[in-house]
Amino acid sequence: MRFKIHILMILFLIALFMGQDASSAAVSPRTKPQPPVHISIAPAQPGKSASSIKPGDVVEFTISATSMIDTTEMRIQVKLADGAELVSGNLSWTGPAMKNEIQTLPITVKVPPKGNASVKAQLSITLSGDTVFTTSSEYALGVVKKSKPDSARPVRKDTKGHDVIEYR
Amino acid sequence: MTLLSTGKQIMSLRSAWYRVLLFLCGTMLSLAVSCGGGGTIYTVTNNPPPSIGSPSSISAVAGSGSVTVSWSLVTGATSYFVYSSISSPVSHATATQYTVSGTTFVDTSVTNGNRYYYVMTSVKSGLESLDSSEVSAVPGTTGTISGKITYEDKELGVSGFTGSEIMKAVRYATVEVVNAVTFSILSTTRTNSLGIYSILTSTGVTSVYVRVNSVATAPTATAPITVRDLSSATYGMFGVPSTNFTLTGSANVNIVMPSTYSVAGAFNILDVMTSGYDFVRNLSGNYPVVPLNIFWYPGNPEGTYFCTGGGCPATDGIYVLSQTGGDTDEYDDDVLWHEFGHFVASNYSLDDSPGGIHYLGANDQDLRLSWSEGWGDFFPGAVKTWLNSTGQSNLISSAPGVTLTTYVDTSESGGFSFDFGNPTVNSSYSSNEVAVAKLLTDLNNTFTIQDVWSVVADFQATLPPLTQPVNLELFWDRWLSVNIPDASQITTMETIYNTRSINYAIDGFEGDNTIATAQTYTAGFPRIHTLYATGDEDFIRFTATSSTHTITTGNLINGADTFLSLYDQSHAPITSNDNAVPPAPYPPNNMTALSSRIIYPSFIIGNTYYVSVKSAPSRPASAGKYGSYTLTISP
Repeated sequence: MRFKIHILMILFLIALFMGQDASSAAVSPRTKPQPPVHISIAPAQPGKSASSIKPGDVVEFTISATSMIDTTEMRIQVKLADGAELVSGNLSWTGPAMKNEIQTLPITVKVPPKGNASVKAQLSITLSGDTVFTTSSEYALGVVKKSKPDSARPVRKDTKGHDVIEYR
Repeated sequence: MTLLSTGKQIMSLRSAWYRVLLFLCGTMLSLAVSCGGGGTIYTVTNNPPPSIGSPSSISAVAGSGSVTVSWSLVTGATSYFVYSSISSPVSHATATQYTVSGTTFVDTSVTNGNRYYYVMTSVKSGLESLDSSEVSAVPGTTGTISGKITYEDKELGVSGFTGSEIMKAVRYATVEVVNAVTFSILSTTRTNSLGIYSILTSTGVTSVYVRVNSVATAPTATAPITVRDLSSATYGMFGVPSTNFTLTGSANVNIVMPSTYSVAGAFNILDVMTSGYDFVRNLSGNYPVVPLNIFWYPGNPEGTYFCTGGGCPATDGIYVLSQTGGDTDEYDDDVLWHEFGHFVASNYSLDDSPGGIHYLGANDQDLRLSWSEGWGDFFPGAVKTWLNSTGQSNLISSAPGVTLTTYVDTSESGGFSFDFGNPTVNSSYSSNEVAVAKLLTDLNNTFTIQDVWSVVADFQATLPPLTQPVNLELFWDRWLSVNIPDASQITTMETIYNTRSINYAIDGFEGDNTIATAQTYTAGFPRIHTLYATGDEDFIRFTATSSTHTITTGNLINGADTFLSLYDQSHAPITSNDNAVPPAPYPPNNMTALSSRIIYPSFIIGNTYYVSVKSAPSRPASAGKYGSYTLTISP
C-alpha cells in the first residue's frame, strides 16, 4: 500500500514538474510591426544550397512573393549583382495580388567564374493614399563577403566597476 | 614602541572582553600558554578594555600635493594613529601608519590625482581604540570642467532619412573625469536637460579626460536607462580635445558626436528612452522604478524587440537591431518608442500577449496580440503628441509635414512608414492591431491621454493576479469603471469603436436572453447578433420545415467564439456544439475557426425549436467574450 502511495506521489510530482515547465516557458519577444509583405529566394533544384553552388554553375531560382493584404499593384524586381548572368526568366513582375497569395518568379542564373555575385529581389505593394510597403531579400552566390570588423576599442571601468567601451 | 606596534597587530580582537598582551616567554602570567621552546606566550586577562573613544568628526580635505585630515579631540587620548591607504577599506596591515597628536594631520606623502583613504584610532596608555569612520580625498587643487554634450540625430521623413541632421543635447547622461594613467574615476556628474554639465575635480593631475557614458538618470528618477552591448558594457565617448589634458584651473570640454560616429546611435537610443521616461512621469507622477536596459551594438543582428519573462539573450530589456548593410533601428525613434511602449505595458499595466511576428493590416490576430501591439503602435504617436503639446517639439526627429502619428521604420533593404492616425490598410475589428492603435489615437484626441493611461494602469492596480486575457475588451470594461463616463461620453466612445467595426453594445434583438423571450428566425434571412455584455445568451425560435436543418454561426468578428445549443418545443435540450471543426490551440480570429454547427436529422416538420448562442465557456485566451456572429438556419 505504501509502495503504491509512493508511486502515486512520484507520478504527481512528475506531472507537477512538467506543468511548471510548460507554464514557465519563455515568452515570445514583443517585436516591431512588420510590413505586410514577404519575399524569399531559393534554389529550385532539389539538393542545391548556397554551399553547393560553385563558380560557373547554372542555377534555377524561385522567387516567392506574398502580400498579406489585397493589393491592386504588387511589384517584384530582381537584380543580379557582381557578374551573375540571367540565362532565362524575367527580372520583374507587376500585377494585382490577393491576400496571402504566393506569386512566384522562376529565373535561371549563371554564376560568374570569380567574385561574390548575388541575386537581390525586392517586393513592393502600393495601397490607397500612396502607402508603399517594401521588403527585400538577397541570395549570395559564392563566398559571403564579411564586413570589416569594428576595430577593437578599449574597455575601461565606470564608477561602479562596470565595463565601458570607449570611443574617441 | 615595540609594545605599541605589537598592540596594533593584536587589536583585531578588540571586540572581545579578553585582552591579549604579548610578552616574551618566561614572564609571570595569570594564564600562560606555551608557544613552543623559546617562542611567544600569549597572556589573556579578563579585565575590561580601556575606555578610550574613537576619533569623531573626521574629515579629509584635498590640497595640491597634500591631504589635511582633521578630527575632534578625544578626552584622555595621549596620541592618535592615522592610517593612510590608496585602497578601501583601509587595512592596518597594509596602510601607512602615522603617530600624531592634536586635531590635524597634513599628509604630504601623496600624489595629485590619486584617491587616498584614511581611518584613525585614539591611543591611551599604550592601548588603541576602535577605528574611526573612513574618509577620502583626491589631492590637487580643485578646478571646474564644464561643457555641453551633443550628438547628431537624423531627420525622419515618410521615405526614411531625409539626409538632414539635427544636433541634440545628451540629456541626464553620466559624465566622468578619468585619470588617463590609472583610469580611475576622479569625479562624476550628469548633464542637465540641455546637455550641459559642470564638474569639480582635482587640478594638477598629469593627464585626465572627460567621458560621457551611455547611462542616463533624470534628476528625480531612481532607475537609470542604460544602453549596453550584449556583454553589458556601456559606451563612453571621449571629450574634446580628444587627447588627454592636464587641468590647471578650469576647462571647457564639449563632446560632439556626429552621426558618422557609430557610438552616436547609442545616445539617440538614450534620448528617445529619456523622452519616454518623461512621458511616463507626466502620466503617472513618477519615473519608472524599473531600470531599463537597451542592448545594442554596431552590427547587432538581434532585435528589434522587447524581451521579458526569461529566454532573453542577455537580460530583460529592449534589443535593437543594427545589421551591417541591413536593418538598423538606433535612429528609428518610432520603432524604439514602440518597444518602450511594451516596456511600459509590462511594468505599469498587464500584458499577456504571445508576442512573435505580426503584420500590419492582419485582422485575424489573437486579441491579446492585437491589444499589445496596438498599444505599441499607438505609443510613439502619443509620446510625440505630448512632446509637441508641451513645447518640446525640438525632441521630435520628424521632418516638417510628417504627422505625429506617422511611424517610420528605416532599413537599407526597404523600410516603410505608416500613419496610425490615418490608416490606409484594413483597420477594422479588435483582432487588428492597426484598428486598436487608431482607436486609442481617437480616444486620445477626443478625451485625454490621462484618461487612456488611467485605464491601462488600472489593469495592474486592480487585476493581478491575471484572471482574464488582456485585450481591448478589458480596456473597454475598465474604462467604464475607471473613467465613469456619462451617457454622452459613452455615445462618443461607441462612435469611435463602431468606426472600427467594433461593437461593444447590446444588439437589436435584446432581451432575448431566455427561451421564453426568444426572437423568431425568418427562413432565408441570416441574422447578425452581438454577444454583449458578459454572460449574454441569444435565444432564437424557428419552425422546422424539413427533417434536417443545419444551424451555423459564422462570420465571427471581434474575437467571437460561439457555443450553439438546440432545444425542442418543450424546451428540452437536444444537442449542442462548440466548434464545427476542432480548432488548433489558440486559433486565429479569422471569422471561421471558432464557428459552431449543428446538423440535426430528426426535426419534426411543423414543430417549434429553439436555438441558443453564447460565448463558448471553453474559449481560448486568443478569443474574446464579446464579438458578433451571423446565425444561419438552412435550408
